[in-house]
Amino acid sequence: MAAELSTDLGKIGDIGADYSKYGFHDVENYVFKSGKGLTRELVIQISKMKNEPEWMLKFRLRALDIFLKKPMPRWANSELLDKIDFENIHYYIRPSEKSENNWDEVPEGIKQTFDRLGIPEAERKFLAGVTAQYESEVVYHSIRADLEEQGVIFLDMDSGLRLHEDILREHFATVIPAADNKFSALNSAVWSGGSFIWVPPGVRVEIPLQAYFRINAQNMGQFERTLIIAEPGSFIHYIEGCTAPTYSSDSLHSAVVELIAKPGAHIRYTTIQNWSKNVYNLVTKRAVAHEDAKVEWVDGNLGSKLTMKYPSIYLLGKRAHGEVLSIAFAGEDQHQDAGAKMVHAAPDTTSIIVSKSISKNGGRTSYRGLVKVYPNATGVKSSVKCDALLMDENSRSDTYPTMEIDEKDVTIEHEATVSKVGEEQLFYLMSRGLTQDEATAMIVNGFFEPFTKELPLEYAVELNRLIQLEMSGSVG
Amino acid sequence: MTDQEKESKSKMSDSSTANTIARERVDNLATRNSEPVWLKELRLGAWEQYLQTPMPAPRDEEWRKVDVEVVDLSSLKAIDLSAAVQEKKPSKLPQYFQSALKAFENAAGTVVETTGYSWGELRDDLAKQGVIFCSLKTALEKHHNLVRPYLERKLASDGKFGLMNKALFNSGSFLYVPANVEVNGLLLSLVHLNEQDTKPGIAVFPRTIIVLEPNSKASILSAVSTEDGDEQKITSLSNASVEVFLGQAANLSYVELHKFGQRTFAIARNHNEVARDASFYSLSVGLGGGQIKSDIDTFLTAPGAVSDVEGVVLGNGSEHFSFNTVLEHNAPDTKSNINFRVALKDSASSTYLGTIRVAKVAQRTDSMQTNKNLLLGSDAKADSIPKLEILADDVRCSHGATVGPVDKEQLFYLQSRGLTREQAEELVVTGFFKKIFDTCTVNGVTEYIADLLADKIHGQD
Repeated sequence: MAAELSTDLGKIGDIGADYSKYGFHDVENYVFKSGKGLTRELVIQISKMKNEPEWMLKFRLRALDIFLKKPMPRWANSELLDKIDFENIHYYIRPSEKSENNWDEVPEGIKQTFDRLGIPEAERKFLAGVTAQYESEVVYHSIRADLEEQGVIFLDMDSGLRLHEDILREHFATVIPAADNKFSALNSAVWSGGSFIWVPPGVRVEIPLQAYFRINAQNMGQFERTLIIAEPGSFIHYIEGCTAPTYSSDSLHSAVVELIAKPGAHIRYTTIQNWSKNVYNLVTKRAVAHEDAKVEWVDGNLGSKLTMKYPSIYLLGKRAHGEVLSIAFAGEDQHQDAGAKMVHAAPDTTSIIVSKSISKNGGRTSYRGLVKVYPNATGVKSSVKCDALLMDENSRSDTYPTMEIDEKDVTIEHEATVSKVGEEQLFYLMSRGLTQDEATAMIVNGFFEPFTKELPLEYAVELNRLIQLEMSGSVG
Repeated sequence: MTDQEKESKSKMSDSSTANTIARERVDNLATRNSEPVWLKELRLGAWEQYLQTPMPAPRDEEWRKVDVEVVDLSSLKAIDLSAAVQEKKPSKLPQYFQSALKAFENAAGTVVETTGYSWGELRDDLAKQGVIFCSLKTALEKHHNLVRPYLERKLASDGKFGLMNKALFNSGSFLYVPANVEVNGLLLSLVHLNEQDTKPGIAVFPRTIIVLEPNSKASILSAVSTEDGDEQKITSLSNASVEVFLGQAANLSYVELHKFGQRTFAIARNHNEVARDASFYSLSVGLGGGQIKSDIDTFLTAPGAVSDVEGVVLGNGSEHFSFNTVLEHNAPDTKSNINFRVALKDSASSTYLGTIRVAKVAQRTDSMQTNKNLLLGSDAKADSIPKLEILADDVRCSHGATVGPVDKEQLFYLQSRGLTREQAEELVVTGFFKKIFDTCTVNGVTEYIADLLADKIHGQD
């Protein structure tokens, strides 16, 4: 174990170069780039360019009204939220004419970007399907033939609307209505791209489907929408990664992700967001789990300026099970306001939330969560565990858990601890010849281990390296 | 109703208060008790601030499950306990207070306030050492130089209702222990409104000030109760403020008992300041009330300060309890523990909201916060929000919260030993509370409270 880690640690120098690979940005060369600001005309134009049916246009316009009416939430980091200038954002950018499914046909500039990110590599490693979104539109998309034969639909959201309007319309915005919150309303008005997945009854997709999202332009808003429907008895694992270059002015990412696990279905959704530190990442992610269904969110938050993300699971059928496993890392000028919500609305439903966070160099992490048990949801079991590590005296950690229990016959537990890296642990490792940085990185990796061990290998390795990179020079 | 409408409504009820909660009432209090000018100005200052402070609403997190509008503030009539003149032992006390007087017959000091009676006594040896323990009214007459600076303090915990109390306080007690004095024996403070007094629409504003100078020590049991029948509609208001100031290395054990009737909306604000190396123990016992909103704010202001804030709540019927604890670590090397245990019968409900705040300077803070909820009634509800806000890095802070029914295995075991289900449940609840009582070292107090709890568990409320 020690030998393994020390080889890893030896590469810290390389990783620096590796990490900076996300920081590049391409020359802008777009087919269409909307002006700044949000208007009714723009919403109509987006819908028209996408050739959308009438109901979708109506949905967008209604959402726009809701967005304009809803006040900014005041319970979170108002100081940062109030800095968002909605008039200074490009709401829609179309980088190329159409989505490609042959990598060679993707425009050269965009291809270079994703080559640098390693998308075709990932595909070569036999991940089941890959979608890549650049600015507002999906630019590359592919799915393995055998899955296609089984009837699995994996498309970008716009194609999903064109090719499977019936399935999409039946489920679209049923989990997260436009009026859910200000940012879901914004997304509903100007959404573009995202993934649409439908898994037929009983089909188990054993290898993960993947998507990458990238913001390239300055002052860009990315508003993708993802909808995953797992029919009874099916299984799907979906992975998404997000990056953006560093600009001096801020960008906004405001996604809506809806998961529907029908009876006995199992959905696992893994995200690692590594947005650059000028991106507001304000996303709404929610799942419904019907009888005997299982939903897992595996959620990693490393990048962004402000993240507000609380993956939720509504346990609607008997014996449904939900899990959220999340980590957050906040460095200088970062606030990771992340958490989870479990809503138990049926008997014998169970849930687990494990949240781990690290604050460093003045960063702030907040766990904000909810466990709600409705009357008559007997036999519910829920356990919430939050651990936070503080790396220095300038950093901050908050825990805001809420438990609302309206039923007697339940077992609910919540636990949280906040501490700093143990002096004794550090001393022990350093007495074995590790530098303080190495020792700290090792302890932190151990702290995140329950999370990393749930990731596919490539991701786990990548995450470990990112953490080591963030940790180098951390202790003074 | 929109927020705006709500605000204008609460403003209306503020301005239309004809008798109790109005400026005239403040004037009236000052004149009737021939209060000095500075006190009148203090009351009026608080009144102005009260008017400017918006009425709390469910959108404010600490008030999320409290129905502030349950009482029509404009219809209340204040019962002025401190106007009582008869300085003799009251006869009209309820049985549970008579038994307290009996159980603590050798108390170091006693202050009892009930309608028409205000009575106090303190052991001679303590009085000789400079200890003061009397009603706040007496203290204002005899020791105003000592009380004044504490009454004048602006407190971080002053909210709408705290300010209301500051403007209108009309009962309560004052405890002052000089430096290096140890009060051996319990101090007892009882405030009671009986059924006859509690005609629909009364209000009472007790204010208690406790000052322990450096190296002094005391323990006090403070109980407030109303008896107003079983009617479910809430018509009365008790708005209490307890302000505790502990000097360097002082040591206070403070036990409070709230036993209100079903028609009472009880608001309590406890403000505790704990100085260097001082040690503060607090036990709050919530034994009932139509709706109880209790804020316990503790400030550890200098290194070495230690606090232990414990709570026991037993609710039945449709009672609602909102306990809100704030623990601020504002200096390095401070230590705190918070432990609230709540048992709920019938359709009683509880919201526990706890905040531990560790300031950036408060390195080496050690803090623990626990909230356990036992749901006995099938319609009982419990919310728990234990929060941490930590700005220092060298800390150890934990919290834990649980909600659940009585352990079925424990019940089964007890029933297999021949107990009925009710008996078994009572035994489990008693055991549940015992963990808290074990922390209380004040002689005789836990036995007294345990008896009251047992009565309530049996339904002999």
